[in-house]
Amino acid sequence: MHQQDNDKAPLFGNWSGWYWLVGVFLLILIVFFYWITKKFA
Amino acid sequence: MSLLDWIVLAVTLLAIVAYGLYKSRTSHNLEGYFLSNRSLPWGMVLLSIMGTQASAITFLSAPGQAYTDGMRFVQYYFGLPLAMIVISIFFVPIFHRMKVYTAYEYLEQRFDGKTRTLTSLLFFLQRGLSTGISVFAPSLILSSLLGWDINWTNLFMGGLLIIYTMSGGAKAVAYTQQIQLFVVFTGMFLAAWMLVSLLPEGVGFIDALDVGGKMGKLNIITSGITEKGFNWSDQYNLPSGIIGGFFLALSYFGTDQSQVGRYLTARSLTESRMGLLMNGLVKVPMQFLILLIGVLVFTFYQFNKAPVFFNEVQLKKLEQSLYGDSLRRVQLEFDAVGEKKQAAVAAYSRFSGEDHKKEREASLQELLLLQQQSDSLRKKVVGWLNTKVPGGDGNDTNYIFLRFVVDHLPAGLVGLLIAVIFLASWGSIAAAINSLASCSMIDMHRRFTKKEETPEQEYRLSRWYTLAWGIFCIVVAMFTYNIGNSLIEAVNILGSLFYGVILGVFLVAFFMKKVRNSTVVFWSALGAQVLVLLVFILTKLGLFKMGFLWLNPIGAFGVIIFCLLLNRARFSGEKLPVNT
Repeated sequence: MHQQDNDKAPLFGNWSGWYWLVGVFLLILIVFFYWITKKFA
Repeated sequence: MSLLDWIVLAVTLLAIVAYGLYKSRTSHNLEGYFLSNRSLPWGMVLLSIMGTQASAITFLSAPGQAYTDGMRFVQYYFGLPLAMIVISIFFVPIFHRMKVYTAYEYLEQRFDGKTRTLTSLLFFLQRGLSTGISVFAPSLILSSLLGWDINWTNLFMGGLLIIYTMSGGAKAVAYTQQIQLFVVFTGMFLAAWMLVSLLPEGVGFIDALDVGGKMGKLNIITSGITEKGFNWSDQYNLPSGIIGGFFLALSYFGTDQSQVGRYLTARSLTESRMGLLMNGLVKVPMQFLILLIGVLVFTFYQFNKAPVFFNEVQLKKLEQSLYGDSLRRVQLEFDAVGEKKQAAVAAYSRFSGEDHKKEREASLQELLLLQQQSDSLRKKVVGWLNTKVPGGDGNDTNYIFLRFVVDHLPAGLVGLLIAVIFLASWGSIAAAINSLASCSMIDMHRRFTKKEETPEQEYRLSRWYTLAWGIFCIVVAMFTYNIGNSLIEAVNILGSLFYGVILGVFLVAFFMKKVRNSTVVFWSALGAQVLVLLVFILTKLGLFKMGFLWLNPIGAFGVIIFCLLLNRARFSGEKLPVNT
């Protein structure tokens, strides 16, 4: 992973935090959608 | 359309053009014109990325898709957030470090000029044609619904945006895209609000979802697995959405200049990454909400009379054919079933609570039975249009939402939603034309012209390239009309035919440091492209079944495997140093 041109990630301080956030949020969405699919089926 | 609708439409469109011109002031050199001097904050980069990806068809087709097939289409976007992560880690730092104008510029530094030329040409072919059809597709829908002349609609759809795109380049594109998205989201929110308020008294948002869900429209997550195993021809399911969607998004955002050009306008690597990652966070919920509007439209038509087919131009064709009498009989039957459905759904909504569980269940069963009957009547009409009527098209997905808008929304809001269609188109078309011009200038003109030009001359030439691509896209749109509707569907597949191979070349460049032989890469890319086209032709001939999303990984892995094989066979050719 490159850190260049003062490439500091906002909020988390490193980019791994952002990558985890995006990945985990996708997982939560899929679980939420699965719940809606079952709930309203 | 009423006078008020015309006023709303005209004022909205003219305001956007005026705003684009107002924001056109940029420095007279290529960095100013194509990259906005690399000065934009991540918020604008995000809106520009979103505005480029979301075309008019996104806002027309998705609700129609949910109406006919349910919400499982959202799975198509599941690979996108993962692709944003990969692009942020591997692609963006390299593009920023090398200070490239276009993605393909990097390939010359890594391999050679002919690899750069090949990928640029694939981009021209794919993006040029699909942008032409992006002009045509919404124009056709609007001209069919409102009786407008198709040529004039094409001209307004593809012509007005050229004024500010030519004048202000990437900066004008980015600034207008943020206003366009604001109008688009406002329009869609008001449409959703009206949908719920037009439902009968006592039926709210959750009730509408309940009806839609019970009738199979909230099928958001599907596995694609049947009794016979995984269904490879199923377009939208969890595995194809995550794997196929990942490769499609990786190719589109990582190697398509219309997107690369957006995040290269960022003022730093951090701003580019933030724009992309925020897109990874908001894209799936946004598509979910657009699809949800389709479910609301479906529920609305359970309580109200629905057309048997939503494209009236096609319906008139059928009326005038040998099947005219059959159509009238089907329509009468469809309306009778519709009235029974309205009674059944009203009863289902009325019987709430534990005391009326049995009655509620009985109403639901009746409703489902009636839905099956109306579906089979609709299928008859679709079948006749597809097979018995010359020039017939049985796909009315793109017409469903706008038909509802025109028939049921109040004056003023109709004009706003027609403006939404124009603005959504303009956002993606303007970015595409800007990127086609940047590739023409950077990847072709600068390399193949021997004459030394000043920055001012290059800037002026770039404006002419923008105009030329704008005219090209309008001409493609005009010719598309003569060919027929089926091309609208074909453009969705067009991207998958070429994206995989372009992505494969970039993956080899980034990750396979041992591959230094440029000739190996060139022939591997050509070989993989032939393989993808062959697979596509075989599926079209019906020799085997496979959804088009799978063409992306086939193309990408095709390039990688061919490279490994040819590299091992010590294919002769010039050797260039690795320069990443």
